Amino acid sequence: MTINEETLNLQLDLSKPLYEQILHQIRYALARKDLELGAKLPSVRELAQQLRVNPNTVMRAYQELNRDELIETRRGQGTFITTKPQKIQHIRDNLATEAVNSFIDTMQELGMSRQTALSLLEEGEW
Amino acid sequence: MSTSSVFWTLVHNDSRLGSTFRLENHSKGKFSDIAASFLAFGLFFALAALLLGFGLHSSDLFSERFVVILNLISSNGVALFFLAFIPFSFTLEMLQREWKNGTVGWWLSLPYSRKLLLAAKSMAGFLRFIKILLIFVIITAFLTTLTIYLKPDVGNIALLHDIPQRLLYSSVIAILVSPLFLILGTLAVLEKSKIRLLPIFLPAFALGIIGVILLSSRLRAVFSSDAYLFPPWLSILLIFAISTGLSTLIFFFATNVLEHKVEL
Amino acid sequence: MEMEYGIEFKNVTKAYKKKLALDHLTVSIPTGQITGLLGPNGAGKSTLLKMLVGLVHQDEGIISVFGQSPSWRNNGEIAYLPDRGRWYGLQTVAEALAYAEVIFPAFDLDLARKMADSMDLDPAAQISTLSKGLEARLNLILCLARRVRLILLDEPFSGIDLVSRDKITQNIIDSMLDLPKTIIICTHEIHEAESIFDHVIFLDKGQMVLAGNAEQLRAEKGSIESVYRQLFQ
Repeated sequence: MTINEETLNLQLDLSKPLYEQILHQIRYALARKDLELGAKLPSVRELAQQLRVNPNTVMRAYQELNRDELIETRRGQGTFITTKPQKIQHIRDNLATEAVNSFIDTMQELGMSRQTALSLLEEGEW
Repeated sequence: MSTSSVFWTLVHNDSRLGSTFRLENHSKGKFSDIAASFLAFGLFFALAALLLGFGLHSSDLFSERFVVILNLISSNGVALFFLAFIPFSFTLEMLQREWKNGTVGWWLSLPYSRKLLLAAKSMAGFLRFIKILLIFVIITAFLTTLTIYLKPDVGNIALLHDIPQRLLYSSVIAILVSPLFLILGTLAVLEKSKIRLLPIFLPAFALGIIGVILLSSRLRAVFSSDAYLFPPWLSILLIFAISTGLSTLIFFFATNVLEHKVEL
Repeated sequence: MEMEYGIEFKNVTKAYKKKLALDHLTVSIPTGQITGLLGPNGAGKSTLLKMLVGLVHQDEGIISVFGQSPSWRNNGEIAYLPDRGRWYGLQTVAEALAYAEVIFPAFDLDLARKMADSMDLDPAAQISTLSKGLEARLNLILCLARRVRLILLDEPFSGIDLVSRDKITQNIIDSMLDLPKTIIICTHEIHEAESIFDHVIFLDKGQMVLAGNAEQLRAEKGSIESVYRQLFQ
């Protein structure tokens, strides 16, 4: 499966650092299983053209994803998503933990107790 | 790319600039130069020949007056002045066109010496001038043949005898002094420079032009007689040397101005 | 990230009659990156670019372009797109590219032809008949198809239609990937262009008001456009 504009639909907000957004949105797409294991990602050129951003920005994001071993570059073939499901699981866990921490921060800012927060969570639309 | 191919490519492009003898929408420079020259000069001479033909059949006074006018034009450097003005205006216009057309930013940022840039403009002017002069010479020679050899016994033709020769002579002188006038055209850079000495330079160079013209007609008077079509080699050499010397000086001056005093 | 500053202005001043175009300007531009030069009209952006190619000489101060003083002698390595620059109208597109190959050192004719094709430029079209947008595309090709290490674009997007702007941006992106180079872009179309800047410099009245990495500025202050508004409103 080659990832094209439709599957990897990145939206960029110019008021925040772009490379972070690319990084975050790709991680999310991976975690949500929008992207299959081992699928081919757009090249730096393709993604830079698609997003109309400086190729350095895309390269930075790809480099970090590479460091996290979420993607791998194969010489002459391009950039691919990892085939190891544990990596994806790891990311999902991280993103989930981030979301939980964010929820807790918001609740604390609003002055809600842990008890109230938990019951709200139970009553929420799952 | 070698310097010479750069130079000739610049010359070729420069010769398409400018509209002195050009119809605005014409894209083929060569064609309209030749066509326009034929038109301009051919018309002038045809008119002259026609009037002369008429004059010779009607009153003597009319044709006499007409010949006097032609005499005046072909002597004392008047024809020379016009023939010299043409290369001057060519170079001048080719230079001004860069600013007028908005291409000067590209032109001045080229990685070549200012000497090369101005030399290309001058050469382009020279080539266009030679083309036009050639046509002028051909027409004059044709009319000379016509009036002298075909109808030698008609009316006041004898009065006309000297004029074609003098025009041809002026053409030769014009070629010799053309470098000077071409280079004078490059002084258009003064207009674009920060130099405020324009009020001084302009009359100085006008005097210089007049001086050269006077010099050439003086020399002609000294060295030639009526029967000669071409003056002795000495006067030609002298005129050529003076014009080359002056043009070299002016060229270096213009190059200097372009390099250091012209800004965008 | 190791940053090298290949272009430096040190205390550069340039006065035109009564107006100061550049006022003791000290600024450095990073090598191998796309730098956006932003500021209101008359801030000195065009003057700065012209000084880099020797079209304007400074009254005071030192300018260094990869270790050398600006001069036409170095312009073989610099591609400059003048503000409101027109090309020779009597040439056709094909003739213009052939002409460029001779007079511009390191001009890649094959690349230029491919770019002209991708930008929908008809090789037989006479340049004087081209629309503003198409002429802007040609002007860009005349700069980007040169294998040089510094490209200066003065208002490449000015007065150009949206599609032409997109094509121009695309080609700038491609050009960076093709061969690492330093690009400086002056523009008023900040919203359109800011996503391609690595580095940004804000000028006002001939002085540098703010400069820095684009992403860093976004992290600290928000979009480049909003920073501009904050500075100049």
